[in-house]
Amino acid sequence: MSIIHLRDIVKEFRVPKRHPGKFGMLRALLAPEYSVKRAVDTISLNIEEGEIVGYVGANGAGKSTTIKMLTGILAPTSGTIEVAGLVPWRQRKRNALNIGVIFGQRSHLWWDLPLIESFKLIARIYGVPQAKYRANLELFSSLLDIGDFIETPVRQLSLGQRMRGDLAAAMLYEPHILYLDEPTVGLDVLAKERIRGFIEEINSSTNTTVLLTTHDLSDVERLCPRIIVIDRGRIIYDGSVAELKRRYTKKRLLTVQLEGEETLLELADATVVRRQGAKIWLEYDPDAVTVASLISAISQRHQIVDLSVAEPELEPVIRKIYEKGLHEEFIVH
Amino acid sequence: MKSSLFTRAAAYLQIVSMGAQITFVYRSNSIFQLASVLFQIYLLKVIWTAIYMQQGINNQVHLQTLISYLTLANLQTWVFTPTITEYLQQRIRTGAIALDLAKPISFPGQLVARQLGTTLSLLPFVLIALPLAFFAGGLQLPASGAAIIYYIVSCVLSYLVVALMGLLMGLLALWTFEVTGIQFIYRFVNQLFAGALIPLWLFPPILHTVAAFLPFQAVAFLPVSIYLGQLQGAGITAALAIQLAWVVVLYLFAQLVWYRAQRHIVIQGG
Repeated sequence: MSIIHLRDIVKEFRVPKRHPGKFGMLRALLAPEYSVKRAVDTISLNIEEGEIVGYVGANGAGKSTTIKMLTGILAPTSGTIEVAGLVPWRQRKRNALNIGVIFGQRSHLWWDLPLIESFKLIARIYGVPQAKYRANLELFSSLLDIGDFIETPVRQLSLGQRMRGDLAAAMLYEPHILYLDEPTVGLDVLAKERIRGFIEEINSSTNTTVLLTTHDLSDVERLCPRIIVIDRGRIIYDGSVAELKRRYTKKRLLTVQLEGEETLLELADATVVRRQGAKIWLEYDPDAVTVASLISAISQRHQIVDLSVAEPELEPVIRKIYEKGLHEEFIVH
Repeated sequence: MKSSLFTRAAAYLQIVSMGAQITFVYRSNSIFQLASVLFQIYLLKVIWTAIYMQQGINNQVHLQTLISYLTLANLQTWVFTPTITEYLQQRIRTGAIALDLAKPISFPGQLVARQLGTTLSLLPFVLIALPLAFFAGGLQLPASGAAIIYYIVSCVLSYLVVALMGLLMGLLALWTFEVTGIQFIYRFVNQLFAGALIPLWLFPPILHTVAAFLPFQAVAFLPVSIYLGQLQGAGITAALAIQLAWVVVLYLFAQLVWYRAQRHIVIQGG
């Protein structure tokens, strides 16, 4: 039995209609009309215990709405939802004991008080035994390096420090499931890396299930074997990151720098897509030709100074999906 | 890990403590508030003394008693200011309420505990204020030993009325997003009908009747009247009964509104 189970989940919101013109506001006040907006449209998915899943989509695609339904603060319009055997919106408080939540733009921490006070509160709310509390605090101090600022009021923390504090708060009571809604938003490279390392660590050491939404696809590439792509409320891809890349990155890019600038390159299996001085970008199909044979073909005729093969990246793939939808065939490099 | 009665009590206690710590962080704010309350008490004393000097006023109550009444009523109204409203509005506006609801303990419970912390942290300020208030206004000793005990009981009920009214106003923000205007009205109506500016016994009959049907008299007028011995015997029992009735009514109303609020959030996303 999957730890997270969604079947045919629909979530609709009623949004008040606005009327243009002089009396539009008056009309909206006296006789409000509503239109129905479908934020999540018939989503089904299963997540097994211990998985780390990337949940990706453009702004307004329905990611946060899904997370809110999983935490129980939103009820689905229709469909069934189960998290660790509970129906979140019916058993919100019991469900809360099983989950940890991070919303990147908001904080669990008490703004005016030292970080440690928020930790104490979390420990009491979730009934964490004293010994476990100390052990976890020590563990997080080393993993997230929060020891230096644990006595500092939260309002004086940097965004990266605050996010580390929030992560520690969410894991202090060792929930089975961790929902991370944009945990790396606005952070610098080092802070991001620290947070990714922490997620990886708790997932492997305690088998915590992680659902991660993010706009930074390097988060997904670094952490998630599996990715779910949502677009306009619908799941358009659910599978491995590797497969998604394989499917949509048909062509690869090889960059070579040759000695001298006179070089003219004519190859049967690759085409020159760009040229800058002695630097040449070649596009090739990895199904038709291997990099090795390509390189040896070039080096037979020219002197190679430098070369690099671009690893296929997730980002351009996802960008194309946002632009065109998955149904259309496209190639990215 | 589970949420037993014991862990919940420990959690609420921690919130009370944190609420108190926040007042301490912003202690200069409390000192300014206190100064303004003392100034108001002083002005009321000057004005009422001048009024009492006029001929033809029906001064059935001794001036000294009246000034004691105003002093105590204003101090109490200050300490019992609801902070829930503003806090709740801010949680709703920023969407942080989503995090509050994702916790395994009751959200209104969290709010009331926080309010209690703020109030308790003001008590040291009251200790400083009492001698100052004595000079700014005037203060007589409680009418009797029994009066002080009934006064304390009455204050507890008064406090519950304030907290519940604050909660109800804050919850309105779920539908209106903005409760500053409502708070403005509340502050004015509360000061007037709690009897912090003019004691209710001086109200014209119609306003007196209106005041009797509003919860605000439970905030300051009734407890202070008990303290000063203006209510005796059956009068005290009636006053406590009125306060208790308001606590029950407001509690049930808050339950209803909170139930609707949760539905609103769960269906509309706040």
